[in-house]
Amino acid sequence: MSELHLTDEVLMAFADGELDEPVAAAVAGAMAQNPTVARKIVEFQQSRRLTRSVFASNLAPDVPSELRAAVAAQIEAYEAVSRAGERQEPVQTQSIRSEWRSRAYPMKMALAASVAAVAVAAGYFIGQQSQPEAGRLAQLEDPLVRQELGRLGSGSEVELPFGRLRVISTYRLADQSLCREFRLHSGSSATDAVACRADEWDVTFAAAAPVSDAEYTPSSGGDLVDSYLGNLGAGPPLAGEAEAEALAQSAR
Amino acid sequence: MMEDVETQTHLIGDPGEEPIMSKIALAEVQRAIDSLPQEQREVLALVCGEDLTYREAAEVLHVPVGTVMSRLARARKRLVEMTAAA
Repeated sequence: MSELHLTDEVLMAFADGELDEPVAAAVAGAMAQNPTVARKIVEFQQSRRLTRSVFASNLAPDVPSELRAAVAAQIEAYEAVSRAGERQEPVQTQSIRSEWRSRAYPMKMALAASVAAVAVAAGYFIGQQSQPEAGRLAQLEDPLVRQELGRLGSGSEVELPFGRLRVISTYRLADQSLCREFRLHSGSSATDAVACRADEWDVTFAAAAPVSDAEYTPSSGGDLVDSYLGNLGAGPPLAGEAEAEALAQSAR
Repeated sequence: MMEDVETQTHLIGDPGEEPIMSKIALAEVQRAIDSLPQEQREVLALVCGEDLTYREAAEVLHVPVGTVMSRLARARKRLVEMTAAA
Protein backbone atom coordinates (compact mmCIF):
# COMPACT_ATOMS: atom_id res chain seq x y z
CA MET A 1 0.00 0.00 0.00
CA SER A 2 1.25 3.46 -0.77
CA GLU A 3 2.31 5.57 2.16
CA LEU A 4 -0.61 6.96 4.09
CA HIS A 5 -0.47 10.65 4.84
CA LEU A 6 -2.06 11.19 8.19
CA THR A 7 -3.62 14.56 7.54
CA ASP A 8 -5.95 16.11 10.07
CA GLU A 9 -8.84 15.20 7.79
CA VAL A 10 -7.85 11.54 7.72
CA LEU A 11 -7.45 11.36 11.49
CA MET A 12 -10.76 13.16 11.98
CA ALA A 13 -12.52 10.77 9.61
CA PHE A 14 -11.08 7.86 11.58
CA ALA A 15 -12.31 9.41 14.83
CA ASP A 16 -15.76 9.79 13.29
CA GLY A 17 -15.89 6.26 11.94
CA GLU A 18 -15.98 7.56 8.38
CA LEU A 19 -12.97 5.71 6.99
CA ASP A 20 -13.27 2.52 5.01
CA GLU A 21 -10.90 -0.38 5.31
CA PRO A 22 -8.01 -0.74 4.71
CA VAL A 23 -7.32 2.91 5.47
CA ALA A 24 -9.00 2.64 8.86
CA ALA A 25 -6.81 -0.32 9.75
CA ALA A 26 -3.72 1.60 8.67
CA VAL A 27 -4.68 4.54 10.86
CA ALA A 28 -5.41 2.19 13.77
CA GLY A 29 -1.92 0.76 13.32
CA ALA A 30 -0.40 4.24 13.32
CA MET A 31 -2.42 5.06 16.42
CA ALA A 32 -0.97 2.07 18.21
CA GLN A 33 2.58 3.07 17.39
CA ASN A 34 2.42 6.80 17.76
CA PRO A 35 1.07 8.61 20.82
CA THR A 36 0.86 11.88 18.89
CA VAL A 37 -1.45 10.31 16.34
CA ALA A 38 -3.51 8.76 19.13
CA ARG A 39 -3.80 12.08 20.86
CA LYS A 40 -4.94 13.89 17.72
CA ILE A 41 -7.61 11.27 17.09
CA VAL A 42 -8.78 11.58 20.63
CA GLU A 43 -8.97 15.33 20.38
CA PHE A 44 -11.24 14.97 17.38
CA GLN A 45 -13.41 12.57 19.35
CA GLN A 46 -13.43 14.93 22.28
CA SER A 47 -14.39 17.94 20.20
CA ARG A 48 -17.27 15.99 18.75
CA ARG A 49 -18.52 14.99 22.16
CA LEU A 50 -18.25 18.50 23.55
CA THR A 51 -19.99 19.97 20.54
CA ARG A 52 -22.71 17.42 20.79
CA SER A 53 -23.24 18.27 24.44
CA VAL A 54 -23.49 21.97 23.66
CA PHE A 55 -26.00 21.47 20.87
CA ALA A 56 -28.02 19.04 22.93
CA SER A 57 -28.02 21.10 26.10
CA ASN A 58 -29.44 24.40 24.83
CA LEU A 59 -27.23 25.91 27.49
CA ALA A 60 -26.68 29.02 25.44
CA PRO A 61 -29.89 29.38 23.49
CA ASP A 62 -28.80 32.31 21.33
CA VAL A 63 -26.45 30.81 18.82
CA PRO A 64 -27.59 27.20 18.88
CA SER A 65 -31.17 28.19 18.18
CA GLU A 66 -30.06 30.40 15.28
CA LEU A 67 -27.91 27.64 13.97
CA ARG A 68 -30.63 25.10 14.44
CA ALA A 69 -32.99 27.31 12.49
CA ALA A 70 -30.45 27.73 9.72
CA VAL A 71 -29.79 24.03 9.62
CA ALA A 72 -33.49 23.21 9.71
CA ALA A 73 -34.10 25.56 6.80
CA GLN A 74 -31.34 23.93 4.83
CA ILE A 75 -32.75 20.51 5.60
CA GLU A 76 -36.23 21.56 4.54
CA ALA A 77 -34.80 22.85 1.28
CA TYR A 78 -32.83 19.69 0.83
CA GLU A 79 -35.86 17.52 1.48
CA ALA A 80 -37.92 19.49 -0.98
CA VAL A 81 -35.27 18.87 -3.62
CA SER A 82 -35.10 15.25 -2.57
CA ARG A 83 -38.82 14.79 -2.91
CA ALA A 84 -38.74 16.42 -6.32
CA GLY A 85 -35.97 14.08 -7.38
CA GLU A 86 -37.49 10.96 -5.95
CA ARG A 87 -37.85 9.22 -9.26
CA GLN A 88 -34.20 9.66 -10.14
CA GLU A 89 -32.96 8.87 -6.66
CA PRO A 90 -35.13 6.16 -5.18
CA VAL A 91 -32.64 5.50 -2.41
CA GLN A 92 -33.32 8.92 -0.95
CA THR A 93 -37.10 8.70 -0.80
CA GLN A 94 -36.69 8.32 2.88
CA SER A 95 -35.93 11.81 4.05
CA ILE A 96 -32.51 12.53 5.37
CA ARG A 97 -34.10 13.92 8.49
CA SER A 98 -35.97 10.79 9.44
CA GLU A 99 -32.93 8.77 8.57
CA TRP A 100 -30.69 10.48 11.02
CA ARG A 101 -33.34 11.14 13.63
CA SER A 102 -34.17 7.46 13.73
CA ARG A 103 -30.59 6.47 14.27
CA ALA A 104 -30.14 5.34 17.78
CA TYR A 105 -27.19 6.94 19.51
CA PRO A 106 -24.65 5.31 17.25
CA MET A 107 -22.39 2.63 18.56
CA LYS A 108 -19.42 4.42 17.16
CA MET A 109 -20.25 7.46 19.24
CA ALA A 110 -20.44 5.40 22.38
CA LEU A 111 -17.09 3.92 21.56
CA ALA A 112 -15.69 7.29 20.63
CA ALA A 113 -16.78 8.69 23.95
CA SER A 114 -15.08 5.99 25.94
CA VAL A 115 -11.96 6.06 23.84
CA ALA A 116 -11.78 9.80 24.16
CA ALA A 117 -11.44 9.42 27.87
CA VAL A 118 -8.76 6.80 27.33
CA ALA A 119 -6.44 8.62 25.16
CA VAL A 120 -6.83 11.90 26.91
CA ALA A 121 -5.64 10.04 29.94
CA ALA A 122 -2.69 8.79 27.93
CA GLY A 123 -1.97 12.23 26.58
CA TYR A 124 -2.12 13.60 30.06
CA PHE A 125 0.21 10.96 31.27
CA ILE A 126 2.68 11.33 28.48
CA GLY A 127 2.41 15.08 28.43
CA GLN A 128 3.61 15.51 32.00
CA GLN A 129 7.24 14.77 31.34
CA SER A 130 8.57 16.85 34.20
CA GLN A 131 6.18 15.29 36.68
CA PRO A 132 6.44 11.98 38.52
CA GLU A 133 4.49 10.45 35.63
CA ALA A 134 7.64 10.58 33.54
CA GLY A 135 9.31 8.33 36.07
CA ARG A 136 6.33 6.00 36.02
CA LEU A 137 6.45 5.82 32.25
CA ALA A 138 10.14 4.96 32.45
CA GLN A 139 9.28 2.14 34.87
CA LEU A 140 6.76 0.74 32.42
CA GLU A 141 9.53 0.37 29.86
CA ASP A 142 12.14 -0.80 32.31
CA PRO A 143 14.18 -3.74 30.96
CA LEU A 144 12.83 -5.90 33.79
CA VAL A 145 9.25 -5.17 32.80
CA ARG A 146 10.03 -5.85 29.15
CA GLN A 147 11.68 -9.12 30.07
CA GLU A 148 8.66 -10.27 32.07
CA LEU A 149 6.25 -9.18 29.35
CA GLY A 150 8.06 -11.56 27.04
CA ARG A 151 7.54 -14.61 29.23
CA LEU A 152 4.94 -14.15 31.97
CA GLY A 153 1.59 -15.79 31.28
CA SER A 154 -1.60 -13.78 31.63
CA GLY A 155 -2.87 -13.69 35.19
CA SER A 156 0.62 -14.09 36.62
CA GLU A 157 2.51 -11.52 38.59
CA VAL A 158 6.01 -10.87 39.76
CA GLU A 159 7.65 -8.57 42.29
CA LEU A 160 10.14 -6.15 40.76
CA PRO A 161 12.40 -3.73 42.67
CA PHE A 162 10.04 -0.82 41.93
CA GLY A 163 6.67 -2.51 42.19
CA ARG A 164 4.48 -5.50 41.43
CA LEU A 165 3.86 -6.36 37.81
CA ARG A 166 0.73 -8.24 36.84
CA VAL A 167 0.19 -9.30 33.24
CA ILE A 168 -3.52 -9.20 32.53
CA SER A 169 -4.02 -10.36 28.96
CA THR A 170 -2.55 -10.79 25.53
CA TYR A 171 -4.07 -9.77 22.21
CA ARG A 172 -3.28 -9.82 18.57
CA LEU A 173 -4.31 -6.71 16.68
CA ALA A 174 -5.76 -6.64 13.20
CA ASP A 175 -2.28 -5.97 11.80
CA GLN A 176 -1.01 -9.10 13.63
CA SER A 177 1.12 -7.19 16.10
CA LEU A 178 1.12 -8.64 19.60
CA CYS A 179 0.07 -6.50 22.55
CA ARG A 180 -0.19 -7.14 26.28
CA GLU A 181 -2.23 -5.42 28.91
CA PHE A 182 -0.57 -5.18 32.28
CA ARG A 183 -0.70 -3.38 35.59
CA LEU A 184 2.18 -2.03 37.59
CA HIS A 185 1.54 -1.38 41.29
CA SER A 186 4.08 1.05 42.53
CA GLY A 187 3.78 2.84 45.85
CA SER A 188 0.33 4.36 46.19
CA SER A 189 -0.66 4.08 42.57
CA ALA A 190 -1.33 1.48 39.94
CA THR A 191 -0.85 2.02 36.26
CA ASP A 192 -2.78 0.09 33.65
CA ALA A 193 -0.86 -0.04 30.43
CA VAL A 194 -0.65 -1.66 27.04
CA ALA A 195 2.64 -2.58 25.43
CA CYS A 196 2.97 -3.81 21.86
CA ARG A 197 5.86 -5.79 20.53
CA ALA A 198 7.95 -4.20 17.81
CA ASP A 199 11.68 -4.71 18.29
CA GLU A 200 10.91 -4.39 21.97
CA TRP A 201 7.81 -4.17 24.15
CA ASP A 202 6.88 -0.53 23.70
CA VAL A 203 4.23 1.06 25.88
CA THR A 204 1.54 2.54 23.66
CA PHE A 205 -0.94 3.52 26.32
CA ALA A 206 -1.00 4.09 30.04
CA ALA A 207 -3.56 5.26 32.56
CA ALA A 208 -2.73 5.83 36.18
CA ALA A 209 -5.16 5.17 39.00
CA PRO A 210 -4.85 5.24 42.77
CA VAL A 211 -4.57 1.87 44.45
CA SER A 212 -7.79 0.72 46.02
CA ASP A 213 -8.01 -1.41 49.11
CA ALA A 214 -9.49 -4.28 47.22
CA GLU A 215 -6.61 -5.99 45.49
CA TYR A 216 -8.00 -6.48 42.03
CA THR A 217 -10.98 -4.22 41.84
CA PRO A 218 -11.19 -3.30 38.19
CA SER A 219 -10.05 0.29 37.96
CA SER A 220 -11.32 2.86 35.53
CA GLY A 221 -7.87 2.57 34.00
CA GLY A 222 -8.65 -1.04 33.08
CA ASP A 223 -11.89 0.00 31.42
CA LEU A 224 -10.01 2.61 29.47
CA VAL A 225 -7.48 0.04 28.35
CA ASP A 226 -10.31 -2.19 27.12
CA SER A 227 -11.71 0.67 25.07
CA TYR A 228 -8.29 1.44 23.71
CA LEU A 229 -7.73 -2.17 22.66
CA GLY A 230 -11.19 -2.27 21.12
CA ASN A 231 -10.42 0.77 19.04
CA LEU A 232 -7.24 -0.85 17.80
CA GLY A 233 -9.16 -3.88 16.59
CA ALA A 234 -7.75 -6.31 19.12
CA GLY A 235 -8.92 -9.88 18.68
CA PRO A 236 -10.05 -12.14 21.53
CA PRO A 237 -7.52 -12.58 24.34
CA LEU A 238 -4.95 -15.29 23.74
CA ALA A 239 -4.63 -17.84 26.51
CA GLY A 240 -2.69 -20.97 27.38
CA GLU A 241 -0.74 -22.49 24.53
CA ALA A 242 -1.83 -19.90 22.01
CA GLU A 243 -0.40 -17.20 24.22
CA ALA A 244 2.81 -19.08 24.93
CA GLU A 245 3.30 -19.70 21.24
CA ALA A 246 2.68 -16.07 20.35
CA LEU A 247 5.15 -14.92 22.98
CA ALA A 248 7.77 -17.39 21.78
CA GLN A 249 7.30 -16.22 18.19
CA SER A 250 7.56 -12.59 19.11
CA ALA A 251 10.86 -13.16 20.90
CA ARG A 252 12.50 -14.54 17.79
CA MET B 1 -27.41 16.02 28.12
CA MET B 2 -25.06 17.40 30.74
CA GLU B 3 -24.31 13.81 31.45
CA ASP B 4 -21.61 13.55 28.82
CA VAL B 5 -19.50 16.24 30.33
CA GLU B 6 -20.04 15.08 33.88
CA THR B 7 -19.07 11.54 32.98
CA GLN B 8 -15.97 12.83 31.37
CA THR B 9 -14.75 14.66 34.44
CA HIS B 10 -15.11 11.46 36.39
CA LEU B 11 -13.19 9.42 33.87
CA ILE B 12 -10.35 11.62 32.82
CA GLY B 13 -7.07 12.02 34.56
CA ASP B 14 -5.72 10.74 37.79
CA PRO B 15 -8.44 11.14 40.43
CA GLY B 16 -5.71 12.01 42.90
CA GLU B 17 -4.96 15.12 40.93
CA GLU B 18 -7.03 17.89 39.51
CA PRO B 19 -9.09 16.54 36.63
CA ILE B 20 -7.89 18.26 33.52
CA MET B 21 -11.34 18.80 32.15
CA SER B 22 -12.92 20.17 35.28
CA LYS B 23 -12.62 23.78 34.22
CA ILE B 24 -14.11 23.29 30.81
CA ALA B 25 -17.74 24.14 31.13
CA LEU B 26 -20.16 23.80 28.29
CA ALA B 27 -20.49 27.57 28.21
CA GLU B 28 -16.84 27.86 27.30
CA VAL B 29 -17.23 25.40 24.48
CA GLN B 30 -20.25 27.39 23.40
CA ARG B 31 -18.17 30.57 23.30
CA ALA B 32 -15.54 28.77 21.27
CA ILE B 33 -18.18 27.64 18.79
CA ASP B 34 -19.51 31.20 18.61
CA SER B 35 -16.13 32.48 17.56
CA LEU B 36 -15.91 30.17 14.55
CA PRO B 37 -16.70 31.39 11.05
CA GLN B 38 -20.29 30.71 10.02
CA GLU B 39 -19.33 28.09 7.42
CA GLN B 40 -17.43 26.11 10.06
CA ARG B 41 -20.26 26.38 12.60
CA GLU B 42 -22.73 25.05 10.05
CA VAL B 43 -20.76 21.94 9.29
CA LEU B 44 -20.04 21.43 12.99
CA ALA B 45 -23.76 21.63 13.75
CA LEU B 46 -24.63 19.12 11.06
CA VAL B 47 -21.94 16.52 11.74
CA CYS B 48 -21.27 16.84 15.47
CA GLY B 49 -24.60 18.29 16.58
CA GLU B 50 -26.95 16.34 14.36
CA ASP B 51 -24.88 13.27 13.55
CA LEU B 52 -25.02 13.57 9.80
CA THR B 53 -22.32 11.77 7.84
CA TYR B 54 -19.85 13.92 5.91
CA ARG B 55 -21.65 13.00 2.75
CA GLU B 56 -25.04 13.95 4.10
CA ALA B 57 -23.68 17.26 5.34
CA ALA B 58 -22.13 17.90 1.93
CA GLU B 59 -25.51 17.33 0.29
CA VAL B 60 -27.32 19.62 2.70
CA LEU B 61 -24.75 22.39 2.28
CA HIS B 62 -24.26 21.86 -1.46
CA VAL B 63 -20.50 21.63 -1.13
CA PRO B 64 -18.04 18.82 -1.89
CA VAL B 65 -17.30 16.27 0.83
CA GLY B 66 -13.68 17.45 0.88
CA THR B 67 -14.87 20.94 1.77
CA VAL B 68 -16.98 19.57 4.61
CA MET B 69 -13.96 17.69 5.94
CA SER B 70 -11.56 20.61 5.75
CA ARG B 71 -14.02 23.01 7.40
CA LEU B 72 -14.88 20.48 10.06
CA ALA B 73 -11.26 19.65 10.85
CA ARG B 74 -10.38 23.34 11.14
CA ALA B 75 -13.36 23.99 13.40
CA ARG B 76 -12.59 21.11 15.70
CA LYS B 77 -8.88 21.85 15.95
CA ARG B 78 -9.78 25.38 16.90
CA LEU B 79 -12.23 24.16 19.55
CA VAL B 80 -9.60 21.91 21.07
CA GLU B 81 -7.07 24.75 21.13
CA MET B 82 -9.51 27.15 22.73
CA THR B 83 -10.83 24.75 25.33
CA ALA B 84 -7.33 23.52 26.17
CA ALA B 85 -6.29 27.11 26.85
CA ALA B 86 -9.29 27.66 29.11
